[in-house]
Amino acid sequence: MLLSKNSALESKDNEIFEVEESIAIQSELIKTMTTMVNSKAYVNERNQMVPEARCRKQANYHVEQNNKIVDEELSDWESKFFEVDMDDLHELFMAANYLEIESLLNGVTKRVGDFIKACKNVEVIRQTFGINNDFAAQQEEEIRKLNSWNHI
Amino acid sequence: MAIKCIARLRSRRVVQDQLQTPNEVEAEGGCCWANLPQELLWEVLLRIEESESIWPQRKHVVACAGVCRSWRFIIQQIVKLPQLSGKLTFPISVKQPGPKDSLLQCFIKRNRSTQTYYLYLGLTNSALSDGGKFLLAARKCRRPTCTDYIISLLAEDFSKGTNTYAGRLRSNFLGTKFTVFDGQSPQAGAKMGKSRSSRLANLRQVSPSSNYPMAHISYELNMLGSRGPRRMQCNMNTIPATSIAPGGLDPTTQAELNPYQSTPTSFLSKSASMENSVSDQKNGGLVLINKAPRWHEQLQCWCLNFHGRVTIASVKNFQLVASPENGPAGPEHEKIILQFGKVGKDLFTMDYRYPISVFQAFAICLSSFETRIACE
Repeated sequence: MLLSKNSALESKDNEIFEVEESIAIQSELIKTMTTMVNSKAYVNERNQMVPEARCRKQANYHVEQNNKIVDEELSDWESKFFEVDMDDLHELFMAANYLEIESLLNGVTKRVGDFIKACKNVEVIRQTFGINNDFAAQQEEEIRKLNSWNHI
Repeated sequence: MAIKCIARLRSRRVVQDQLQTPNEVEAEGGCCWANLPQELLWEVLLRIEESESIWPQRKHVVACAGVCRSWRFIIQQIVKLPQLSGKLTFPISVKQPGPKDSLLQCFIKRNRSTQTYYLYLGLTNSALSDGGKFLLAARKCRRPTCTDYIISLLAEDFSKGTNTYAGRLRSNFLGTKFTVFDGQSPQAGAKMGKSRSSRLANLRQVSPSSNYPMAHISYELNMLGSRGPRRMQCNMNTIPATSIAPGGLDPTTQAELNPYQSTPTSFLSKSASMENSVSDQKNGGLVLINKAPRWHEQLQCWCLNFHGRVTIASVKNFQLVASPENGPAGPEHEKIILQFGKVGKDLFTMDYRYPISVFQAFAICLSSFETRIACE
């Protein structure tokens, strides 16, 4: 009986994860790599470097996602999964982007949007995301004057 | 799906990159949102714009445009003009042509004691509900030889010389002829159009004395005198007559489709020198006239079909269509471009569409309040 195929993925900090192949290839990056490197069987091969410290988290994401068939459970689980602070969210974002995992990217993008919408005003958005106000003084003044139009 | 496209683009690079070190951002400790790759920021902002499509949630889109220059640039690319999306997003949207496909429903509240009128975008189907997005306010100022309605983007601030001043409607002494002035000079907008950063700013304010006359409205009695409905004509200086032709020239195709520009620059270069209304038509400006009501013998009154949007008879009620003088008569002359009418003691509906803007529509409706033609 054929065992479920596993891929071994090594992360940048030299941790090795064994991940079910069907989950590993949810990452477009890994899928492409495995296709390019070895077009035949790719079982149990340490065949790529995955320079991501959060690789385990990605693997877990998919395992859990595949286990949750019921929509309600899934969305509950997803909300908990994304209840992370800004730093972790940023790492997730970078990881999802690098590994090209569409479903994870969707989840992170939505969560970042939720953060933005939760900000009371523009200044809070800037503080939350560490962004500098680089508008010229006059433009900033014009934007500020029309702020109240935005909120009536 | 956009994220897939980005992913595919990346995967083409992956084979070469697989042994390279990750980009420095990830190597750094701590959060670096300010350096978020543009394509990722784009996805975040795109998702917000798509999900927050109606007011008051749409304020989040405007807020994002106020964070910093790169966010503003992306939002500017994402948000479509009202004529394409049917949505009003930024303050400048009030100066941009309305949706092509359907009438945008608004309502006007009148405050008689302060002689102020408030224009709202309707959020629900019921015109009588309080749920509206504020767009513009107008306050009447009587002068010795004329009357002015100052139009502002703020509900209680009618000061001129600021970027919240939208323009004004001026009536002649008799209340038969009106001029709509745009508070921002299109020439100033055109000059600023050269550099992107200045285009991102709201159009710079010019002094009220150089307000630009963008439309002329006139009222006349019809053949029946004051017993019959009045005749209205609006000469829209800044809108080419060809804008209503099927596949005809949009006001905005000649300029970039920039949601931050209110009026086209190239058309205006012709009409900028116009001072009076007589030659508007010859210069190719759109002319609007009111649809003639029919006399209903049994009800003994003049009737127009307002499709349920107007419920109280009033001489102020009207529907504007493109005048056949604009060009050969066709189906486009049947389309209602602006409709206005009474639904309550101080409550009126105003529905408008392309090619006029909500500012122009509002100003035309204000003239209907002001004129004394055919009022008993």
